[in-house]
Amino acid sequence: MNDLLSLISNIIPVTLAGLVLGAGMPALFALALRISAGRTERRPDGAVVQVHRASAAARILAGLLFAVIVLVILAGVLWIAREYLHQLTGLPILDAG
Amino acid sequence: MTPELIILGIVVITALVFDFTNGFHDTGNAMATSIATGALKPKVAVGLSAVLNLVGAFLSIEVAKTVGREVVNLEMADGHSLMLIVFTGLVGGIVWNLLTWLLGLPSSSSHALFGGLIGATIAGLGVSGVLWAGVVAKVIIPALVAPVIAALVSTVGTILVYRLTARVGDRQKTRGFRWGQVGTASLVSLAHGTNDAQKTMGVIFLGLVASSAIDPSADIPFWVKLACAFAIALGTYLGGWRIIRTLGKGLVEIDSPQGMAAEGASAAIILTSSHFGMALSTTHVATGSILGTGLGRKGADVRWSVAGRMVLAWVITIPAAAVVGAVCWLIGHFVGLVSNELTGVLVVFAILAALSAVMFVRSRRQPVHSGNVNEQWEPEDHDIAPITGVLAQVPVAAGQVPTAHVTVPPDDAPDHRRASGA
Repeated sequence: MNDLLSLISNIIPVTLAGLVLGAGMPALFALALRISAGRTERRPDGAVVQVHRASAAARILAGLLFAVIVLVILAGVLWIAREYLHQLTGLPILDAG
Repeated sequence: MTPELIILGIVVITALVFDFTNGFHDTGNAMATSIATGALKPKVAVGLSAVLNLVGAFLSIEVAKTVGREVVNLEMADGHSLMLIVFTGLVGGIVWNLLTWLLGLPSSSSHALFGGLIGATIAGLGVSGVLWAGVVAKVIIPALVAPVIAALVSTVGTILVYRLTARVGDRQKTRGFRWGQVGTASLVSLAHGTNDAQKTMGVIFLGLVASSAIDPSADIPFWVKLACAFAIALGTYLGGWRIIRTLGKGLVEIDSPQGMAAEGASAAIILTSSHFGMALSTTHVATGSILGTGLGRKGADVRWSVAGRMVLAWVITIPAAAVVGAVCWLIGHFVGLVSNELTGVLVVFAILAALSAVMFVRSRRQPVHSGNVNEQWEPEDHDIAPITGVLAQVPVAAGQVPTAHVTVPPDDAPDHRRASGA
């Protein structure tokens, strides 16, 4: 019964981690796209088109955000491979071992 | 060659066949959204997923030597009866995987394997051989929780993504999110290879131990890893097109921002959940995410009849695979009693081959392949369709698109145009 309770209480961290990474990262990606979108206008047929490029500063900022996202994805790959890498190198990667 | 060795060989082959069905059953979990939105060409998507599954399988270190131990008490069985239980359990898993594939329903391969093992255990050792507390904790609760969490995360992600990019140019939006989709889907594929291939490695290990071919404390032999990695990759590359179609086109019409939100949610949940002590099925997470992305987007319809059929398939996966596993065990056991063990195993293997052939032939009548996987999903008049309703959704033939719909714009058309056709 205790096991069951602890299992159910695990739902909260799983959900929170999911929201932060699973919804947060796509949102960050969307934000980077927004920053680098420049000026756009909506055409009568509903299409949104870019009429002016984003400023250099905005593009650099967006680039930084994209870099953060790439790093998080790389961290995900490291996470998947952490035990393998630990065995290979003996280094404690992301708490493996 | 002794009969024991032949039986071991058959068990290993059956385990690899299961691994193979596991591969093509789950291709859609990672790649259905990328295929549906045109982020990747169908063949490229399954190829990428296959390579990543292969790599992922080799990354498995903590191979589940204890596979199935949470749900069945296999210590009660001696070597010979353990072999038959593992073998018929695998047959139950394979038959259910093939049937759900034929119907185009994504169901959990792990559940199918557990179900088969549970059924074979009940038949072989009695009800006390099943660890019911383990079944509840490791199988039933995660199955109830996974789709709900995934749907929630994906709904939130989808809402945020659409809010934030409402004023981004269509071209930039589509291009950006397609990249995002490919990245997140790749992560899901890699994680899948690591998680799922090791289950089969564990089953083969169990067989090797049961036949005294290997010491229980030994490491997994390299050939087992190699064979399992290639079996799952080959299955993935074959592509379960029927299931990809249901996930990518049937449940909701998906655009690239939704695709990224869904795969992002799936990747995050699959990778973090086991860390928090709750290993969730890739299939349940992926399906929940895709459903959520339909809930999170204004005007996007979730086809609840399709969702309902999936849920029904999930609920009956374990009992159905268990029945197949149990029946196969009884056949194998009693044929074994009147003749010998090897004949019993061979008869069950022949039944598996026959059933597989029947289902393959049946699938040829309405084939789904890389060429027609993205055809328009027909509106469903009868909302409470029987489970086989998905079969009717198999496209008639490539090129014979019904004329009721507006022309589907090319892949690089802006999202809203693609959506308007739905």
